[in-house]
Amino acid sequence: MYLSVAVAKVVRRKKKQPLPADFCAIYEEHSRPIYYFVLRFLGDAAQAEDATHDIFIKAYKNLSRFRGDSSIRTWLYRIAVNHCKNLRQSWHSRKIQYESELGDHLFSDSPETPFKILASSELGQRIQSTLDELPRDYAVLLLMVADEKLSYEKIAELTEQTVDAVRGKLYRARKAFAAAFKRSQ
Amino acid sequence: MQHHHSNQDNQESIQQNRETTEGRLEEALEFEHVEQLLQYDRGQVEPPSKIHDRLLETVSEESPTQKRWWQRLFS
Repeated sequence: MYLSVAVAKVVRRKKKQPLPADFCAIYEEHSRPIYYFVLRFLGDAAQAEDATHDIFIKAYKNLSRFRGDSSIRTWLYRIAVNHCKNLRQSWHSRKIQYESELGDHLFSDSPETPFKILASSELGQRIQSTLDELPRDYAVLLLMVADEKLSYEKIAELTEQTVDAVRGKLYRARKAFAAAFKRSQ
Repeated sequence: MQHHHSNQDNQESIQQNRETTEGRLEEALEFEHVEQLLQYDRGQVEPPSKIHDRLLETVSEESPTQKRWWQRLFS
């Protein structure tokens, strides 16, 4: 009797329930940009898969606390940024790059030229290695500004700086990316 | 021998075609800004379906169980 009750509980727990419709809609709409952000931020597909799962689970658990002050997309990015930063901090084996004004001279003479590329599966790898070369906050800004749904104001809010600071840093980030991308050819 | 030649010719023509195709693609894929390049890259990246499956599993495991009487009383 006790055994059958226990088994029934396990079976009930193991039976997959569909995602709640509202959460499912959120996942459908935002999973691609969030996964992309996480993938390029962490630079590892397996870690990105785990992290994206964890980010959406955090969102699921806190959905009732979402006040709607910002858009869902901005809220998800906030969770993603915090999650990824925590992950990177815990990776002792990886070299963590910080923004350094001293390092900026490496990119200062690089014009923002058009990016000519050969369509190939290596493009992703090249973009990844370029982003990996950049200071983290440059990479974060570029990945965020590439999302058409994030305004400069929202990016400023997410990265806790002024809109002017975002603009200035983005200018340097674009140059840094262009230089690093050229070098990766 | 002739057969071998025609094979070689075919291979050369395929190579040329590939080069031409790649040349065209290279011309087609030109981006003015980093953002456009990243947007293109994002379009190529599909989130693995495993994430959705794992979410289903986790949500099922964490779905709220019926509260006990004392939990209902104090909630």
